[in-house]
Amino acid sequence: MILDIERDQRRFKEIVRGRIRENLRKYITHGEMIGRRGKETVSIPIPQLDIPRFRFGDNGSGGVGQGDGEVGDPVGKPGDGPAGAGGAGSEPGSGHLLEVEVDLDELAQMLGDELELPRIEPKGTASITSKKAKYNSIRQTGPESLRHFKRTYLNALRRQISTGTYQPDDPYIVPIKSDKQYRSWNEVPLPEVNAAAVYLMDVSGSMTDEQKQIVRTEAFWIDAWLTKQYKGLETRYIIHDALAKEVDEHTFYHTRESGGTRISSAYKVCAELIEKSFPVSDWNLYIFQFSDGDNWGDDNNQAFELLSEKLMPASNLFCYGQVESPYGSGDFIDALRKQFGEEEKLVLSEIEDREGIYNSIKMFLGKGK
Amino acid sequence: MASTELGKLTPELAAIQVEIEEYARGHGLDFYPTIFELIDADQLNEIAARGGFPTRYPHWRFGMEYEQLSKGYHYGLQKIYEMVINNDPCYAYLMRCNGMIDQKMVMAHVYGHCDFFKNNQWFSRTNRKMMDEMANHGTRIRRIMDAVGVEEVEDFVDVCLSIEDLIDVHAPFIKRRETEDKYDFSNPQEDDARKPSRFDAKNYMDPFINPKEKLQADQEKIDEEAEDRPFPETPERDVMQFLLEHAPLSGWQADILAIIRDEAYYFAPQAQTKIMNEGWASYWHSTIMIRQGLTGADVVNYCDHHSGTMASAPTQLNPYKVGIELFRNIEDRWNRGAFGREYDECDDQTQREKWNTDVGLGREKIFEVRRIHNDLTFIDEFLTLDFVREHKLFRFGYNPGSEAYEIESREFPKVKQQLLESLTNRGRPMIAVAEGNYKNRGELYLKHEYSGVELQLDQARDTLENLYRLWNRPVHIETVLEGDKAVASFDGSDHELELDDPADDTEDAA
Amino acid sequence: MKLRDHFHSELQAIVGQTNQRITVTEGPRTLRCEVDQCDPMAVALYELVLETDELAHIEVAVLQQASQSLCDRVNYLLEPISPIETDIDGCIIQMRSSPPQQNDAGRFYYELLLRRGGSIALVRYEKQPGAIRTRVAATLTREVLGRLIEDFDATVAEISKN
Repeated sequence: MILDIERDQRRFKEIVRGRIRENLRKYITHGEMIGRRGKETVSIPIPQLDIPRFRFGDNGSGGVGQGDGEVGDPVGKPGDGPAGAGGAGSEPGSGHLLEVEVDLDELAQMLGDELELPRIEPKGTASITSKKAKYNSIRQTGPESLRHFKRTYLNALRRQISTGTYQPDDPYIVPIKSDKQYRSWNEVPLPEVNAAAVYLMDVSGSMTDEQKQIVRTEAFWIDAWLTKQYKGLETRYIIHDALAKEVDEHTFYHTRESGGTRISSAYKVCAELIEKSFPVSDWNLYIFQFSDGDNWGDDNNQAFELLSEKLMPASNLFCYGQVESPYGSGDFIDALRKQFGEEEKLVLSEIEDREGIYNSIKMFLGKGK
Repeated sequence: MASTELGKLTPELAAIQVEIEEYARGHGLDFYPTIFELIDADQLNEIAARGGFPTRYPHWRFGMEYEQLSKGYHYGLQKIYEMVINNDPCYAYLMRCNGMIDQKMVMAHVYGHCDFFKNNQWFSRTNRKMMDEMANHGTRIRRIMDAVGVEEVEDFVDVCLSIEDLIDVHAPFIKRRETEDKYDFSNPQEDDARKPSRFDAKNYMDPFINPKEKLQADQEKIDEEAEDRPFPETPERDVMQFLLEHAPLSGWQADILAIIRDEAYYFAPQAQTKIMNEGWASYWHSTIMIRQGLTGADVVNYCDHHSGTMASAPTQLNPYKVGIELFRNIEDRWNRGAFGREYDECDDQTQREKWNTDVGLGREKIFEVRRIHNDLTFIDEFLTLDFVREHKLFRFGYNPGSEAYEIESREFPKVKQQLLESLTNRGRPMIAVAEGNYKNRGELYLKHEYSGVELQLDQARDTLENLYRLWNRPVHIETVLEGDKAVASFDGSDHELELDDPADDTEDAA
Repeated sequence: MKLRDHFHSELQAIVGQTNQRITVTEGPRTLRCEVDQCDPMAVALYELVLETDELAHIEVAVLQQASQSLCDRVNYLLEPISPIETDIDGCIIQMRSSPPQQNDAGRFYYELLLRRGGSIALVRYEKQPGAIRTRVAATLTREVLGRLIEDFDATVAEISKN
């Protein structure tokens, strides 16, 4: 009889989770430690989940191997040998480098707990503005039946408004037969709430690899959190130097340009993207822009125009993170502050170095918009 | 708790078992009754995670091991093909999905292991009822968890595991605590040796036969003598036993430490005979299978599948390969008479290769070898220059300049020496209790017998912290760092590292 | 070299004075300098610009090449300079000390701008942690300054040849 190993597994995962939580700040700061395992999970290295023992240090200890090779040829790092498997049962070895799989969702929850991020309250899909609040409080991850119930009501609401029978002070929605949404075998379930995140990154010559790593890390965590808030979140990436273009995730993180910086170019492409794919009435849009703030010449004017006319009105939140360049030449954030200081939807944050990622995320997502 | 029923063998496999067992016995293999269980890969991983046992005490590291195994994280060890337990009867687990040829080979391989467990002298003192004992251990610890609390017990188990290597592998007779249940929460029993002897008197007669004053005087005399004697008298390698006898442990704590110690002793010979055991089993499965009409290719096929495959990382010495090759080498040499003084003194390479006195002692010799040797003596006696050359063995080491491990040498003495070093004490540092009453303040002083490789300091510090939790007074370990004597200490709150200045060692220079 | 020599004599005239501007012209080229301080050996300047119309209608690629060779020349500035960004629209090449110099007082670097039209300019910046950068005076010996002017001049000549 084999007793279920589940209990031990659970215990192990609990401990792992605890460790990750304890060290979450470190993972937030050094996001590159996190490896992608699948769509839903990531692998995280946990160094300390080992029972300490008196053992030999690494340097000085060698070993014997077999095979071809000349003196001086490199060999891989030695392991414990084929221990604990097959043949004569022996004790399980203690892993040197321990990589554990963690659900992205769980990780996002830890982030939320650590940074005390409030849940996001999205706007609905109807084009009602101020009265939407009544329906927003319904959780979007509710049971299936609730979804249909809501949609029915929304249709009723729409109808009432269009026929002028809706009274905001005394809302009394009575779905009539034609409002009701019946599940038919043709029906394609739509996400209850549409959400999208657009990331804009400055990849001009002045952005160093370190800065891009910072952006990458921060974007990873923001994405994890948003995905947890919105099932089916759509993500788009725009890079720019003096010119901008939409790219895929890989290119976003790996490209190397050397052009000058014209932020307005990125705003322009973003505006086009919004017009084409994310009309404001139906979408909860989040825009995150990262740059070292070293915008060329008089580009600011153009940029601000696009920002105020096209981007802000379309989004729930516009976050600008200025990574500090070694040249300190970024004044875009100050210019933004001067121009848009009063705007509630705009969140500004200066990210001096890796350690700054933590606070920046907290600032961006801390409002629960 | 949920459990999975293990599968009995199918009639076909049962017949095969009878067949293979007959061949095995026919060749002279000798083993306890062997029971095969048929299971799937996942179940095998569960068992492997527990060191080969279907049930152990609850601990997260088994869960961790299972995660690693099932997700294929171990390098080159993604598939385990069988598992054998040193027990009477011998339990062996077969993978359901193995093909027929594989199953035959696996069974033959298993009988090799079973014979080794039964006959190698280093296993002679192991508990052959460990299957039951492990379950017993599990039950006891679970009961303690119920009484004391899961986390506290888990923490304590972690502390004990920290020192589970600190046993004396050479102890011919293992000192055991009584195996009865001991989870009373009263004080641990005192060391009987330090009480003055009582004449075996019935209670009511006691005061007359052992008058109080005499007992008192006797006790004082013993105490005086004890102060002059070093404590322990000789350095004690069985650190766990020392702690069991002298550390301020509660009943349940002593119970757990005793369990961990028992299990450590049980597994120790397996660690000491990895190469031989695998080599022996591989030798027999290939012999049996070839005799039964399997081709060399089929046999090689099995080796390919087997965990720790032939083409594993070049740094890792593959015990399957080296072990079997060495046994074959010994058999060959003893068949040809290529041993003894005359042979050893012969310098001519061609003569050595052609040497053949036809004595045919090979088979007998390897049986003898499998009985008396462990990996260390095995290598020491039978690893030859020719062998090292033929099998392309090399020594590798860390090059701080290039920050990588590199091949250092193919020279026979160096390769052999490295191998012996890594096999000594199962590759772990040799540590013993030097003083149990250090500075006359009841502090624990351990000594690392330095033989060229330094301790990992961070881990040593963490281990000292765990030792403190057991000993409850300051603990120290003496070792060598960067060529100088060094003593690391922990007093419950601070770590200290005292490095000896060689210039101060004037008193030692007599 | 006329431009340089002319400049030096103007410089000589303001030794001991602070906060002066010098302008010298030679043919199509004009040299401007905002001087903070000047003594017989060295000069502290806020900006040095060589303006000319010889750089009109030059392709960006040519400017880029010229900027790289300018960076190679000015090793006497004792900080490795390399092209950082190119503004394609405005046809400006930005060059900077790469990496910026670091000491306890903060970070410092030169910035050179080569513009189509155009001009070549040198400034110096200081960056304190957490703060935005500020322009500071670059202190150069007269000799280094002389070589710099020569190299600006040579760069223009090199470009306009194309």
